[in-house]
Amino acid sequence: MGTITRRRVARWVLLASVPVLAFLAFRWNARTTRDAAESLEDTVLALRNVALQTLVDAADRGALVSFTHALVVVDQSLVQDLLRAAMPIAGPVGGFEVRLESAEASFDGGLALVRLTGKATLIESSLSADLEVYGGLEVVSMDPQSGRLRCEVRVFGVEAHRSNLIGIDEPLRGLTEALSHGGLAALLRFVEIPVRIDDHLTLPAVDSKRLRIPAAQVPVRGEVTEVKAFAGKLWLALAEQARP
Amino acid sequence: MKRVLALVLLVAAGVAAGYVESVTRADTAPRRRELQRLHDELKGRLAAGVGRDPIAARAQADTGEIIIAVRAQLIEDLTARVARQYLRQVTLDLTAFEVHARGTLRKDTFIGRRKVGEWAVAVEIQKLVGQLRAGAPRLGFASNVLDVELPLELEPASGQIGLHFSWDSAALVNLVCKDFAVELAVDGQVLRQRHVLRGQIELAADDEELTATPVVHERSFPMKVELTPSSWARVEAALVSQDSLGRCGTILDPEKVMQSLRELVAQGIEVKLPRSILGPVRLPARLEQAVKVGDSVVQLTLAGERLHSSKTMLWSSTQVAVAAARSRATR
Repeated sequence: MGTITRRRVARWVLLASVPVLAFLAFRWNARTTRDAAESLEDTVLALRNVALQTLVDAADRGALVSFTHALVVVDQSLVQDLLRAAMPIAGPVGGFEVRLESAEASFDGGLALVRLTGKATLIESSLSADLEVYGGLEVVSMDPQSGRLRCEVRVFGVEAHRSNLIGIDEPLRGLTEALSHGGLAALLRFVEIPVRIDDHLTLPAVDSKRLRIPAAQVPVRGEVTEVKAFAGKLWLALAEQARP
Repeated sequence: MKRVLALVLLVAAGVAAGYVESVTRADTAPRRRELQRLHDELKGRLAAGVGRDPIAARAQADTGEIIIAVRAQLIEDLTARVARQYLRQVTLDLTAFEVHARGTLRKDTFIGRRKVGEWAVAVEIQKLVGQLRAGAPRLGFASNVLDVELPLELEPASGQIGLHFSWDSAALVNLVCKDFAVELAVDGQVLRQRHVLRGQIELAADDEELTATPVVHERSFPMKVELTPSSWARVEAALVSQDSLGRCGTILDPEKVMQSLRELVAQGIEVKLPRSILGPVRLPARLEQAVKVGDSVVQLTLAGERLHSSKTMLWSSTQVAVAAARSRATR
């Protein structure tokens, strides 16, 4: 085989390798982002299905909306508007400066699903990626001081877009971990629902010509006993625990 | 130039192949398809369940952003607790309550049956303070009001009662029977007694809170009083002292007057309570016009709160608008 022939073969091999390399590069990049996305979507869908099954079972038992004393129903649009009003929410998380700029709430699939979108910028450099955080709104407690219902967002997963810049992929995976394990909680802390349950009933003193009644405070202790999300609303069942 | 073009085409072909492969693979992901199929099926079944549940269906049809539903049982329990704890020591000042009676005395005379005089008696509580205690209320739910029957027990109490008896002789007998008046301050007591107070609790909702205002409709009840035996003896002695010649002894019959007095006292004294004993009482569940989200304080505008009570439930629905203005909260 002559030198010219070898050169031709090498050229053809080189030319053939171009589309193969392009294919592999695309697939590798698509795999990193799509696999994560697929996994996250599957995770959320699976979680929703579990919650939906529980709700369907409750509905079959005639106990879809079951509450002892009081029920608070909050529309998803209100939670969404509350989150958006507080945006942007920014702060350092896992080596990134995270800036959450928008929020969507969807309470129709069995979960109080919250999707937060924004940007994560690597603090050490100026490299950044678009960010989507999927989480579930969970009613954690009733604030003992204000009596307001407080919710936290539990992170289901984080999705990064335009993350194919060299040097940002690895740290982004760390950011997912960091957001899931306290990072988002540090940023968002809590979301209050504008419903207040007082821990007492205040009755004023009466001091009229005929009647005198001393002022009194009758204790009331409300507790959140169950939280459900369906039909675009958050359903909070409350029970009043009578004090002796 | 041709080589560059060929290179670009080759790269594009590779990328396109990768894209087609990734899309094809995504479309055929069986786990995703199964999850989505199950999701759609469950959502359909849940939607049917929502339609079957009256509370869920009502809430879904409601346009309010926040709905608060309270079982009637809770309101009954709270009202009972209020009655037990708040109304366990109510001081009722009965001072200056009084009751009056008057009558005309006629007698047969040599010119026929004629009016011989008029008597009047006033029983006035000069100083008596009693204690009321409420029992378990009975509630009936109507539209935005609760009908209330509240049993009250008045505890025995002692005090001063003034008796004012006056006799006004007719002209016919004025020569032999002079006008007179007897005023006595005697010891009396309120007997243990039970009454039922009937009224309503008016429910209302404003921008922030749910309120309950008790209103008494049947404000009056007869309070039974009694004079001590020694007081009755003093009253009788005072009347008997008139039972002598030259006074009214021949005309006025002290025993009959005593009987009238006893009947008057037995009727009780009508006590009238104020229509509104308490102002509006704020119910323990209410809406807030500002909440914290993260470090921000988000202002809200509450409007169009609607309140409806049925026999089983109090239902409040409010439109909430999130205002743009906000400030930073302190941690």
